[in-house]
This record gives sequence, structure tokens and C-alpha cells, in this order.
Amino acid sequence: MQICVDKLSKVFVVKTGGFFKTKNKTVVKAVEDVSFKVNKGEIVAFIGPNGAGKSTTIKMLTGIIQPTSGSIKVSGLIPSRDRKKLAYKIGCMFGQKSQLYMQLTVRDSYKLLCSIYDLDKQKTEEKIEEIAKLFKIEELLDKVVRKLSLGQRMICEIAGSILHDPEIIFLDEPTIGLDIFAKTRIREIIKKMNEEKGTTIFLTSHDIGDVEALCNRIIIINHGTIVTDSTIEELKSKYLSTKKIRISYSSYLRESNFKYKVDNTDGNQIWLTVDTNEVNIGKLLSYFTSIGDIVDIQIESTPLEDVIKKIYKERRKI
Amino acid sequence: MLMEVKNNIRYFFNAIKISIKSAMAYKISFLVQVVFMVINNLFFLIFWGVIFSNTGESSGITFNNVLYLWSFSSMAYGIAYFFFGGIRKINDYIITGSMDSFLLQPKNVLLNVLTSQCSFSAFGDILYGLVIGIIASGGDISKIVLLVFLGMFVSVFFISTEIILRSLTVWIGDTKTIANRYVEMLLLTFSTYPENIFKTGIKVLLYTVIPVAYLAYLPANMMNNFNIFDLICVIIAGCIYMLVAIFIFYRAMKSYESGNSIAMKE
Repeated sequence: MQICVDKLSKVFVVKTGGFFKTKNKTVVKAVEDVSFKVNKGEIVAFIGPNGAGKSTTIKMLTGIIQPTSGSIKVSGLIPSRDRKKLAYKIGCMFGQKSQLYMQLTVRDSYKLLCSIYDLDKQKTEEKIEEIAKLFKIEELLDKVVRKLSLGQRMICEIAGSILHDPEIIFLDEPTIGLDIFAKTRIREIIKKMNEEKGTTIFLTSHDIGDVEALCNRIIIINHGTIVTDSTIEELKSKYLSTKKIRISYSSYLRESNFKYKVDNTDGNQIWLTVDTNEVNIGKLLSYFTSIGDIVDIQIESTPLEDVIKKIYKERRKI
Repeated sequence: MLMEVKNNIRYFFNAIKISIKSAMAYKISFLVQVVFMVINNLFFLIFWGVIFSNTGESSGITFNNVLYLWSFSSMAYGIAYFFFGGIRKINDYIITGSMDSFLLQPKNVLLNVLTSQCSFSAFGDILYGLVIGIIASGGDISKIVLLVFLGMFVSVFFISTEIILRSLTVWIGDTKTIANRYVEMLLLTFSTYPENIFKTGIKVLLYTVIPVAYLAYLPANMMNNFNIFDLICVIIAGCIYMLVAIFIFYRAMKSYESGNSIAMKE
């Protein structure tokens, strides 16, 4: 078990009131009774809407902030107590913050990062070359960081976060603000790190594309509590029984009182949403075949994005 | 343990080298700031020269003493902000959540923060302080050695004061203005005027909460009348200030709540 979180909570006290008035203290529960485990080599998506408690949880897992209650073990270490030791075992990349130096070249930034992780001169050179090759960023090494495009900088950031061969990587919004090509490239890199080095990846993202492309497990957090913890397949089979169907006819339909509830119709086409657990799809299609000459049928599963929206709204605790 | 110290020292020099390299990305700006800082400081000395030529020197208030006061305050200020320019960013790092990147690294957080930046103009202060100190010493090698040692050591008072004041941001909100005013109005102003012009009440403050006596008065006196007791006082006061600063900084880190604003290291 590489990450073990048990009944983790974080409370912030917010003071309100004017300069001369007595200040009121409001207790905000950012994270409440969160428990989960992550195995070595897993790629886990930790997702939720803004303010759900994702970043606060990651910051407690990495030792940046102290939990109010509960226990955490990451690679066998307690982050709030063993911050320095843990830092050698984890890598972090926060999409909104940079660990590279704006005025320096990527190579110089990496050299400083290597010295932070106590790599000697020869190992530093070897590591930079190895990482540059792995990420295909050889031509970026001698460019000044501030002159890189956002996509290039993100790739260099991820590369910088694994210079010390961490066992676990925490990626907070690694594809934020990137175009589709840069996103694809970063997803390939993350997948490669996991496959070639067996690195455990703990990822937060608002981009469901990241989750679908990379993760085998998804933890959804909302209002500081976990609402779902399952594999992507489980999630799909649980929530993807709803199908959106569009049926096109060769001519105008005279029928208007359909046996099944339809969402919309324009005479030639019918749109309907059905739950396959409640409706026999064969009977449904037989019925719609009987009322006219069908020229096209389109059946779509609910996009994962809609499923997640639905889960966010449910706000239930598991 | 020994390995950790060795690694920390190696990292310290690397961080300073990188921080200076980062500052030198704008060479012209660097040189202009250095030259203007020297000229700026020179004006104050000319001002003192004019006063002494009109009023004459009295006991304890001599031009030589003023030169030493300026030498120590400039050198200490310069060393603090050139090598440890990150002290001025502590409040920003706390407010923007940029402290995260330092807390994620397996190094001493405070050392990491202090060496994260370099102030260009402070190099001018180091040069200026050193040159007028050498002029005041009349080229006496033993005095120059003492001057350099004390100049380096008393920078601890600027560093500690900044750490203490800017760490308070965690509890009372942005202390940037308080810290800037405290350093400029109290530390720098008091340290460039001779001790004898102040009355007892103010002197008590200058030997306690505003560490100007240890930063400038005692070192300046020692340059002409070396006294081991004064030296011990300065060293003990420096250690106390530094320990208080370290204690407050790490207490602040325990209460640090991070943030999510978009930020980059500079």
C-alpha cells in the first residue's frame, strides 16, 4: 500500500467582522473524514468540482499543510512528521505553480533541482540527459524558462518533478490551459512513466479526457467528502445504463402518442433517453420500427462527463 | 548527519550561484542599480561631511565613527539582501501559496526561501560599505579583517528582523508594509546616526527591540576601541535574534494554509 488515508479532516477557521467589531469565527470543513488507499503502480484520478477539497487533500498528503485530524501514510512515512524524507520519495507538479526558474534555462533549473535532491555533478548530467531523452525535450534544455510555451513548460515541469526518481507523483491539473496536442503529449508521458518506471500516479484534473485516457481508478470528492471510489469500468456500468437514442424516419410520422416517453420529435426524427435497466431495448426498437420506415438509428451512452456531473449533484456519502 | 550538512552547504552555494545568475539575466539593469545605490549612499556621506566641516567633531560623534556606522549598516544590508534576497518574499510566498514548492523539497525550508532571490542593488551597498570601511580604517589590515567579519555577522540582524516580521503574515495578514517601514525607518535610519545623539529612553529601545546597537554602534566602537565584551554581546544578540526568527518562521509554517493563486519563481 503506497498511500493510506484514514478519516482525514482539515478545518480552516475564517474570521469575519470589521476592524472595530468583534470578529466572528467561522469553521470551514475543507476535508471531512476522507479515507482511501492507493496501491503501488496505480493511476488514480482524484476529481471533484472547484472547492471540493482536492488540493487540500494533496497538500496534506505531501506534507505542505498539517491535517486537523486523521492519519496519512505515504510510502510508509507520515507527511506532517517526515516531510524531508518523504520529499525524496514523491514528485509533485502543480499546474498553476512552477518549480522552474523563470530567468534561467531549463538545464540550470534542473541542475538546481538535482542539487536539492543531493545528486552529484556526474549523476546530475546523466539524469538530465536521460529525462530529456524520455520526454523528447533535448532542444528545450538550453532555452530560458520564461520563453517556453505553456505546453513546453508543463512538459518540462513534469520532467523536473521526476529527476529524483520518485515512487509517487502527485499531478495537480497537469493539462490546465493546454491545447489538444500538448494534452495528448502530456498524457502519453504520464502513461509512459507509469508503464516504464512503475510510478504511482495520483492525479487531479477537471479534464475528463485525462481521466479516461490515463486512469484505472477514480475517486470523486465533493464538499470535502468522498462520494465515489471505484474503477472506471464499475462507474461506467453503474451509470452508463442510460442511453440517448435518435431515430430518423424516411417520411413524416403521423403517430404522436408514442408508447414510450420521448424527449423531442420534429416529425421525421425522435429523440429519447432510456434506462436499459428499466426498458427492454429490443421491444423498444421493435415498436419504433413498426410505426415507420427507419433510415437511421443512433444510440449513445451518457458521456463520462455527464456521469460525473450527476455524481457531483448527488452529494451522497459512501 | 555530516553528509546532510555537506549536502546543505553544497546546495546553499548552488542556490546562491543560481540566484545571482538569475539576477544577472538583466546585466544593464544590474549595473545601473549598483551604481545608483553607491551614488545614493555617497550623498548621505557628503551631507555628514558638510555638517562636520561647519560644526566640528565632538567626543563620540566623529566623522570616522559615522563612516564606520555607514560601513556596517551598508555591508550588513547588502549581504542580507544580495545573498538572502528571498527574505523580502516571505510574505508573498505565504499569501500566494508559493511556499508550497519550498515545503515540497527535502531541504531546509528557511535556507531555501532565503536563497531564492537576489537583490541587484544590494551589491552596491556591499561595495560601498566595504570601501568606506577600508577608508575609515586607514588601510590597517587587522581592522579590515575585523570590519569584514563584523560586517558579515551583523547582517544577521537584518535577516532575522525580516524573517520575524514577514512570517507574521500567516497570522495577521500581509506584513510587507510593516517590514519595509521597520527596516527603512528604524533599522537603517537609527543605524546611520551616532549613538550619542539619542537619549536614554531611545537607547533602551536600540539595545532591545530595535537591534541597532548590535548592528552598528558596538561594531563601530570596536573598530577604534576593540573590546571583547562588546564582541560577545554582538554575537550573543545575533544568535538570540536568529533563534527567535527561526522559531517564529517554523511556527508560521505549522499554521501556513497554502493557496491556489497562479505564481512563478522569479
